[in-house]
Amino acid sequence: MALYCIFLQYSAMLYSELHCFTNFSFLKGASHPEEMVQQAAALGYQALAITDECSVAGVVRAHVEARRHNIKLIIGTDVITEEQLHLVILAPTRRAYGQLCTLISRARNRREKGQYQLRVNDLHPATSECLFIWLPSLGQCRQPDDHCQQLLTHCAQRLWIGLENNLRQSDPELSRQRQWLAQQLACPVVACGNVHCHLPERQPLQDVLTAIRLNTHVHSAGFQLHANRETSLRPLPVIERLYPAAAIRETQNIAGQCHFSLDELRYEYPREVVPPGHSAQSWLRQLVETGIKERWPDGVQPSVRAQIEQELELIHELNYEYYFLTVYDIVQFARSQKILCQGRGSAANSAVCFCLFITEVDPAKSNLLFERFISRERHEPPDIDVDFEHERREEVIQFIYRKYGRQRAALTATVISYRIKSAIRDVGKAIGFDQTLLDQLAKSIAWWDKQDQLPQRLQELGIDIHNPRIQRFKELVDTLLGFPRHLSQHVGGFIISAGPLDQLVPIENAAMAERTVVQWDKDDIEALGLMKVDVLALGMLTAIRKSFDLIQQLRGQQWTLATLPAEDPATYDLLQQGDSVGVFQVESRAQMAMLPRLKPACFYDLVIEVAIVRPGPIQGDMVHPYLRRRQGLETVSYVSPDVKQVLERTLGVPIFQEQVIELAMVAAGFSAGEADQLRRAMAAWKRKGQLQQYEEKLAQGLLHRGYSIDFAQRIISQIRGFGEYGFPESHAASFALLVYASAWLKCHEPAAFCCALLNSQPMGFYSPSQLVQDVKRHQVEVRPVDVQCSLWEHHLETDSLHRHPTRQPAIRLGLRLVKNLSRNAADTLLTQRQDRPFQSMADLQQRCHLSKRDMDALAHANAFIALTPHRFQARWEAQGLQQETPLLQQQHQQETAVTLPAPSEAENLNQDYHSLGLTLGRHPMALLRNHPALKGYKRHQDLYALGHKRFVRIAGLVTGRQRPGTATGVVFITLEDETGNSNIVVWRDLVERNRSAVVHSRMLKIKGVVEREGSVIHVIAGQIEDCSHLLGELETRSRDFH
Amino acid sequence: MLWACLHFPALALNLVEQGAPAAQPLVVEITRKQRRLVLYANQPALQSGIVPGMTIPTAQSLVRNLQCQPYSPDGEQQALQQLGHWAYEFTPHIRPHGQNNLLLEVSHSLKLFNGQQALAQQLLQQLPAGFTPFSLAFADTDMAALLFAQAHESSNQALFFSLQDVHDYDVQWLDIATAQKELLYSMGIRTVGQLLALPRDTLGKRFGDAFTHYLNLLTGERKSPLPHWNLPPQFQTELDFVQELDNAQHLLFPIRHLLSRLEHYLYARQSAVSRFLFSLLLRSRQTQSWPIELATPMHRLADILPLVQLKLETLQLAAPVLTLRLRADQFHGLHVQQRDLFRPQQPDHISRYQLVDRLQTRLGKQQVHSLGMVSDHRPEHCWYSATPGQGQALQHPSEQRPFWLLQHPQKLRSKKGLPVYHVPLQLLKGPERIDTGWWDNTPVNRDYYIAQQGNGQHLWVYRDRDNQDWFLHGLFSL
Repeated sequence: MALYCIFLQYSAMLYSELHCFTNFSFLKGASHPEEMVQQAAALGYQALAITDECSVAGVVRAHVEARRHNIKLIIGTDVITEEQLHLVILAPTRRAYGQLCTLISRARNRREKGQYQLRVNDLHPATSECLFIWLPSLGQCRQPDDHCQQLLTHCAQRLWIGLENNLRQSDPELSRQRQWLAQQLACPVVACGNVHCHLPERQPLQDVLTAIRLNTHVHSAGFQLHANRETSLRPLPVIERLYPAAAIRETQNIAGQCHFSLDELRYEYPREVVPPGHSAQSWLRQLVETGIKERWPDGVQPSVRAQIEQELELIHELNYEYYFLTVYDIVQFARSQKILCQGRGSAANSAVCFCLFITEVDPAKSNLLFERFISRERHEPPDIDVDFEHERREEVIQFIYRKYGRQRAALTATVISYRIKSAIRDVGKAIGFDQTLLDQLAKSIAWWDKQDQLPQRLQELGIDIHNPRIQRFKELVDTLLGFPRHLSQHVGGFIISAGPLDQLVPIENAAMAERTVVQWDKDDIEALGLMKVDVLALGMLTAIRKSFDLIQQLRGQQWTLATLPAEDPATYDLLQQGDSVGVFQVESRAQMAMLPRLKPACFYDLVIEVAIVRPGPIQGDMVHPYLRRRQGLETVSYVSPDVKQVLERTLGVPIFQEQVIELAMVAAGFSAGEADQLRRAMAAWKRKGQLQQYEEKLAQGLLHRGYSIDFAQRIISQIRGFGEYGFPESHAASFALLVYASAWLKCHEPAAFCCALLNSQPMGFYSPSQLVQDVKRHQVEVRPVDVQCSLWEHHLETDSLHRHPTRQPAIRLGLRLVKNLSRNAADTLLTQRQDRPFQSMADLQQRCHLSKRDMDALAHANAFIALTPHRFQARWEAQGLQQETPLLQQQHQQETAVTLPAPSEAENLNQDYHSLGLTLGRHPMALLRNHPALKGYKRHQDLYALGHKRFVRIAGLVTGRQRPGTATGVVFITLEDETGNSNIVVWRDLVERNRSAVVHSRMLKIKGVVEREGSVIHVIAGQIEDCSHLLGELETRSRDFH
Repeated sequence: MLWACLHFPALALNLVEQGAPAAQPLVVEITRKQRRLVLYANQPALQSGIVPGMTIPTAQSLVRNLQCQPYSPDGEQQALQQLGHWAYEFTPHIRPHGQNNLLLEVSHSLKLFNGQQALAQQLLQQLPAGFTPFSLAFADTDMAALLFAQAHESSNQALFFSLQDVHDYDVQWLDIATAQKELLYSMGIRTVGQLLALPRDTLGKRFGDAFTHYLNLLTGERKSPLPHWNLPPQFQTELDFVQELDNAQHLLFPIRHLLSRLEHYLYARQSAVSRFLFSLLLRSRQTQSWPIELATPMHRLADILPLVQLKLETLQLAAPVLTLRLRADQFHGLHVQQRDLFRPQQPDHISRYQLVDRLQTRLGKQQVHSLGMVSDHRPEHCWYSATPGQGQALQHPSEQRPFWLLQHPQKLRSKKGLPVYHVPLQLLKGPERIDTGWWDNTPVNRDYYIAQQGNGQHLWVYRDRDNQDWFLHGLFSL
């Protein structure tokens, strides 16, 4: 028997599979494109066509895999037309491929995201070079209708009739009928596998996908499921037994006609970025020279000049001029519209980019080297991400669409894949787990990838891992992980081309109206060496630009990112104290605790600071060694001069992705190409096992070069930690600049900075309430919303007192803070107020004709404070005002005057929070301070007077709850009171005992111990008590109406 | 007028608890803005720290095996109907109000029941079990009674008020929209007294005419119309189970609940019943009918229940039960009961049901059934035995299936790789591969063939792909 098989395996039979769905036919195909290619190659297929449902989203992955396995890849698609014609369309040539992309784009553009519509008429003449395999139904075989006729006319000579044999009961009869039809039409027949998975073992998952697609259970899906496992890639002897020899031979005929490879795709840069009469090289040179004069009016340092020359030479050598010019063009538009932007990424922090105003990181001031970011050997395309003000990025996107047209510019896709949570939910539903069990399972998510801990965790949740049902469930979930679920739009990755983009890759509708995405994601685009520009949104840029504008109005001085005084000691002082509410990137509680330890004193310290407090480096056991070394607690040593050269700037501890790559090259002997693959594997480490092969290689390389096992293991664990979160130095540098700028603003112009932050909401880590409390603690006056003074935005009010250059103006809160107030109403009000101030609420209503809702919103916010005694009265009156038309004005009847009692302080506080989200009155904790239940409880401020390890009682509002993945079981709670925010650490045991209080209290009382390190203070909770009811008393009644 | 308001603050929970086995933590959930929230929690759940308004995942983090039932407004209305039937004994002037209140105008019943106190005592004593907590408030207007009942929810006793008392109550107890309550708060108007002190016209301007109309009803300045209770011509009720029931004996408790509702209805109607129908909604989405015939019309739970209990012993559940329904639409006046006993039934022409009936009588109930189809590729899972007339028909994807499928496949000898059934068989068609069913404990992996016997008989045989054995699975008709 075995001999027989071997004989067949090496028989003359050659076969190519021409009909194969991957998991990019969402919820249909059950194997990754890579798996399909591997298996087809292993089985000895000559070629494999990837024919996903009206899509080529999976072909790049298949293409990359096919290069490794020496198997021919054919690009195609599977479609069912409106007329119920089931077709497989293949692209034999580059032109045919362009036609295929255009056809898919057209079909996809007709319908909303995820669907398509194709008519048989679309095929002619648009697909004049494509090949067609028709899979007619029994009915169509017996009685071909007009549409079949049309198909024949359109595709004559390029049409085959497909035969399928998946050992279904209906297959023999259908094949007989198809053969008969083929004979009638004089069409050749060809064998097709109807492949849905690469191995028969995948069939259960395929069944699950079907059930998910149909929103049912596998045990109810019945006939909708495949009856057997024959829709996998089958061994050649099986194929040979199941199909007529002629049909098998025909696969070779078709494969033979297909010559197209994705390698033929050549990206052409948009030409309009170079004006007539210039070459790309000469134009870039001219722009850079102009930039040099602007950047360094007093002449450029020779070292910088040399760097520029070196960079230009490299750019020319690698043919990257168009790329820099395209980015320059976009940035130039933003600058012309006064939209603040800042580039980052591998090529962004270069002297050339500084001259082109793509970045503000001054090469003269930083020690970053361009060559570290673009490498001659690696041949990776340059990568520049540009951040824009978040409120104005849309203008930039619209500019790109306008300039290049929707034919030539589109967003790249993001493949949304199954993650643990969604996989558990969908598989669970499909195999009929009930909601309660699913909710239980969902709690195990954190341990899912820790095989050693999972059984115990599940056991704790009452789930038996040894139960075969759970076992099978787990296998299905594990396999489903990483499966693509749908295509979404990338946040801002644009692909711009010289010719029509839809001949390069299909374009389809995104969920968002007026947005289109291409069917490839950024990895696909990178793998094919195509170019993309990331146009991203960043709230802090908005805030900084608004700060600059406010300061210009206030002091008449126009700052820019580049002109802010560099290395200002006062700014570093502020950061060293951890006084960083509102400052970019370093405002989180972890960063705040880090700042006083790291004590940043120069720009490069900020670059490290930005990269250092991230989940990755902590897992990689890196922060502490760096800190210890910086504080002089640990000696800095290097195992070799090579390593020293790479790690010296970070005191011997690898912190940046670039350093890991360099280490791999200098210490483990990786070639440039291998190092680049390592970088990709790090970026995409979730795709299992990819990193592992490099780990082994790295270890061997290091040992071979005489490094110790200990050193090798340390490096590898650090790389593993990097995986998901590792931060490249090139990005950190750009971010550090914004850290510095925002810290400088907070230090020297706190009023303007806070005002700008408030005007840029939502953004950042803190709520308006927290920002206002912070700025008040910095002695800046904040004034309430008032219909007589407020603008829409928050603004600065300067009395004569404030004109002094070091005096801070007051912040007047704007109408934008008022809940339920419409923008139109506010605009009308502001216009009317320009004539003369309002005399009364009735006067305001008469002149502005605001709706009852708007009037009530203003009254709720206490914005009529200048016109009525208090907000209760204001709301009474607002409700009583009538919408008057001019005709009715005379009939206005006097109603009985009613005087309502004034609100208490607590009532005002509640309404302030409710309408504005903040109060300028006393903090709730201040109001409760004398409550008997809080006797003996300290304020945040009082903590500073207490020593390390002292016992303390403290109470406050819960404003933050975090359970970092890196700290097992610990919960960090932020308690706010009238003097500031205290950090409470609750260990796992206590969390378990007081789950209810930890999870959903609004106010807590803590008894614990002070933990101090310098100016960093934590309270380690020993006892914890929910006292939210005190807030309830404050609100005087429950607002929870059901 | 004198109004009594019965308020059931946890009616939805009461209904769920009637379908729940024992005192386990249990909540009724509602989905708002795509978040699953706790609407009601029973005592064990409350004791574990679960409070209404909490999200379900949070609640589940507090109680490991929390039972969650979706909220059903229809169920509440149905329950109010049942309670209305019950209250009919006290007064015909009954009006359900909102989701969980029953308003009774009782001034005309005072005499019959010997005054307010005695009437209240009767109401409390006879209130059907399983409807706690509740409150019962008496006042001169319906809206005032409602307000007092809601303000004293869960008091579980009868309370009597004068209209003047409303002044001291918080405006949150008014029967008005939440937004209006919030508006009142926002103006600092906290008590009903404060509100009523304001000129009614200024209130109308701000809160609308419906609002002032309501205040007028509350204070008695306007009278509410007197309602009249109408009994529906048919009786129908149902109970959802918190956990599906797979043992027929466990049905007894819910059956008792439903029959007690029927009893109230019959009492209000002054009727008896001789047949009614239980329908069991099964997990398989099918409905199993379970008709009950009584030899003689009856109207008391105590009489009916033992008979049903007897029949319950022979009830076979086709699948676990999710919901139990009870329906009755043929009633007998209590006075005609006797006569029916002596009159023989009129012979009708025979319907297919009667045919089935007779066959069942002749052959025994277990011997007669219909075939139904199930969507499943595995032949032995592709059919089920159904109550006669209830089998489901489906389109099977395969055209050729044998008429007679053996209950258990019969193992065949093989000779030279071919199956033998009396004689070696000739394989005509195949294989058709069926390799599926991994999700339960009976997966199959077989190659089916249509085979021919010497005499021309076509057989359906398969080869088990796991052990290569041959089996006979069906016979085609000649």
